[in-house]
Amino acid sequence: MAFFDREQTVAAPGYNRWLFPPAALAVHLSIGQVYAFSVFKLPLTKIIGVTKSAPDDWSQPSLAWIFSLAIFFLGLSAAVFGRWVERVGPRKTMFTAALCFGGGFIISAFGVWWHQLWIIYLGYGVIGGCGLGLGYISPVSALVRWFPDRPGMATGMAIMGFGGGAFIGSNLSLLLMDHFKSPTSEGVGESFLAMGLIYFCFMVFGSLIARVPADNWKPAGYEPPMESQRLITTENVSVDQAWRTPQFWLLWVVLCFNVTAGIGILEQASPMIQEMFPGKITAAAAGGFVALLSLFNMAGRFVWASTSDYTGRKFIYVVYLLLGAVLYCLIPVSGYTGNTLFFVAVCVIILSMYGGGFSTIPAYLKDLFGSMQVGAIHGRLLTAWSVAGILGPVLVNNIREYLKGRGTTGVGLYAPTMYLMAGLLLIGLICNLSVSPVNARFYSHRHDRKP
Amino acid sequence: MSERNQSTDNRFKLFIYWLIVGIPLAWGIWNTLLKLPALFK
Repeated sequence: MAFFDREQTVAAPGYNRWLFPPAALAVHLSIGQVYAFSVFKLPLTKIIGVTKSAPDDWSQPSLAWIFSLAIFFLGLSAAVFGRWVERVGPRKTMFTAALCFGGGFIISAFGVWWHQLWIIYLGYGVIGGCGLGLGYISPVSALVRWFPDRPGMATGMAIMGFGGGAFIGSNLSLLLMDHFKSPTSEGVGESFLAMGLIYFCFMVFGSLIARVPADNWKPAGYEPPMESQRLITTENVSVDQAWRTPQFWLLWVVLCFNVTAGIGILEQASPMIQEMFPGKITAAAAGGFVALLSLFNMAGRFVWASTSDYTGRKFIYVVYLLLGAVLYCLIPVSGYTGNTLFFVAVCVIILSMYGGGFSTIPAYLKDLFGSMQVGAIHGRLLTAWSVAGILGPVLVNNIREYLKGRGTTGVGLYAPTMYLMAGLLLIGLICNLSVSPVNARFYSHRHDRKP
Repeated sequence: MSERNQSTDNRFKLFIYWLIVGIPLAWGIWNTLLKLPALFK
């Protein structure tokens, strides 16, 4: 197994650093499938009945736990295994992620065939979720070391893959289910098995081509700053010290509220546009709107993070949070005036900044804590995503149901939620403005500087 | 490996690696773009 050791992955002199992003993309394009898991929800409710749900078939609420478990274990595994990821390097981590994610699908296939929901919880939710977490943070450290001159663009590229993975995942799932469908089966089990094998192979490809730069390697013509700039340190902070700093928790709140607000739109996109513009938007048009949001979510991850290399991380988060808050307040206005185009434009900008918030955070962490254990620190910060994944949908759904119960319709169903999301973004803005350089007492000593 | 050979090898790998990740991404995006016209009808 020495092939998977970190030492075996150190790139030889002359290696082109642009060979590494495809490794990161192979992993992120695979695990991004999780965003498209909802494609399986309806077929999973008809495993016994096939054409319609039978009394013994699984219910929608019980199936919703599969996705929630996967996201929960994404955050948990990223937080718990971050230091191990830093120690063993990207190749072993990506291979382990491939085993977990691909294996999770294959285990879940048996859950479908034997009609045992707990096997799917264990397979896709727990084991697959660990694959998500390990895969998500696996390339981060290597990327910021390969691209010290443009860390935002580098991590933005990989995390853009996570957004793009949803496109591949949803279309592949539909294609496979259509292929395996028969008069006696929806083809979900066979599709799970096929996807497990396909994603395993694709992620192993990423693992095999992953390389880390040699110590002290730097891109041609790049001179690293000798002294720390205001928010870009030349020192390093270990993961155990990082989460004792106020900067870590300020960024935790920033990420949590930025994600909560974004999910507020993503979660309800289809019913929201139909209810805010009754008679104007059909279900098919709402499907097109969701697709457009996903495209901007993906593109924003690359564009905004790359822009942050020139503007600075703190400034770009001011843009995400301040402009985001203003745009959230404009959503009800677009609804009251019946301006669909304006509504769509506002939503796509918001979703691009939601994606940007995800992809810029590793570079922000690298600026504040150095690159030594940035992957592990990023892993711990992803617990904010786990919390937001619950907080966002709970807030949106409960407020909507409460208002619906009181007889509210149309724009009124969503306006209070949008103002609440704007408020959350303003709290995030205050936290972001409070970020200052990390106190020197948290810096690692020179002899500690091992990944 | 000579410097010239290494450069050719790097270019070949760059092309292949990016092709392998680019094709599925382009396929996914294209299929998603096909859903957009419904929004603007």
